[in-house]
Amino acid sequence: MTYSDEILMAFADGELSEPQRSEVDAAVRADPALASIVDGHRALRRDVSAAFAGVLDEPLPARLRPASTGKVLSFEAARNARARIQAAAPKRSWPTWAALAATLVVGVLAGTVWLGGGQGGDDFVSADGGGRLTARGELAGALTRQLASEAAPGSAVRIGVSFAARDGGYCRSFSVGARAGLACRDGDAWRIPVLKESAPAAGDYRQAASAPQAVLEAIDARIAGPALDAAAERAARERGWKR
Amino acid sequence: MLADELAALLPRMRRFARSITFHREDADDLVQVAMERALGRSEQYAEGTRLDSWLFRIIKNAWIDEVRGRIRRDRIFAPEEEGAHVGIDSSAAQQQRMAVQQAMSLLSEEHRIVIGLVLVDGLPYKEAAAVLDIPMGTLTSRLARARDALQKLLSDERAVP
Repeated sequence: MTYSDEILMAFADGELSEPQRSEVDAAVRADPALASIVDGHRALRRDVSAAFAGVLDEPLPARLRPASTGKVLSFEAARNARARIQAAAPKRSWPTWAALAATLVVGVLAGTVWLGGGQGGDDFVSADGGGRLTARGELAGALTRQLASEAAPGSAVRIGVSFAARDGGYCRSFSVGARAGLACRDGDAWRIPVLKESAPAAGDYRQAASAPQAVLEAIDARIAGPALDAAAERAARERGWKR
Repeated sequence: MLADELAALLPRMRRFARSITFHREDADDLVQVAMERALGRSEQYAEGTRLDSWLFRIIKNAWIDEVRGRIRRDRIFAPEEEGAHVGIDSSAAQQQRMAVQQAMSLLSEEHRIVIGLVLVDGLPYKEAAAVLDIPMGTLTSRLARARDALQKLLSDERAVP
């Protein structure tokens, strides 16, 4: 008995109904050539599924959260609106990272780390003897007070996304100058488990909305449920980032 | 409430949109447009039918409109530079994902959309046929041709040193 490729494909996809399914099943068990075709269909399905599976775990961009949907009715309008937002209020979105291949861990062995390249050398992070980083100064203040959903004119810090972490606390992604990281609330301090430097790529507008991979991975590893929307973020701030 | 149900489907809509557009920004633009259209035309949604299928149809139509518009405007669009997603991670699994994304980008729109619905999202044939408004027979033959094309592209890629 021979079967068309379409039948074998439907079998591989679990789309055949009885009695055809059992007939094909028996034929596939008896014929290695048919089995190999079915395996090929299944492998392709698995590979294609895996290639896009990661999208499900990405935090939703703010503009797609239900509260932020406005009255935009065309693709072009959505793009233009995004361009305007990014041009007019860059603090509302991720800054231009890009060139992720150039990421490097900011070296911290002990003592104080100076961050702020181009910002006048402000002191944003300190490290204890064990190399654990803690936000201080303007960064600590911004993490405690600034909302991702609101522009913060004059602040060197940009908040990316705020979320409840699996360990029960809150974490917030941020950037300062060309560095980006994740800060998680620990008592009254903001610990910084990840801090990356990315060299900006000139004119690379496409990638402007994504954070360095290491920061995205750190978010993925910790986030419990969706990112906080504007109201939840405000509420968390009012509770002093305690849950 | 419809808006809540739509919100719950956002991750799947983004994944489907990413599989047919390749650009993170294009995909999210597309999802945003689809959300607006869905909310604006909620009276067109038939209660008791699958909301996901209805949304996929809106996304597909919005994307086809956009592609036609780009062709008219003679705009060039190419798959996103992979550096955007993968950074310095070059594990075998990551390379495989990149190869699949690359191959997907070379398919025709028609093939890419059917792959996006059935292999990326996992819709049953019947639902995918409903989204595309085509008979089951057409769906299975289109899907078989799309898979064949994708498999060939992936084999060619592996053959190149």
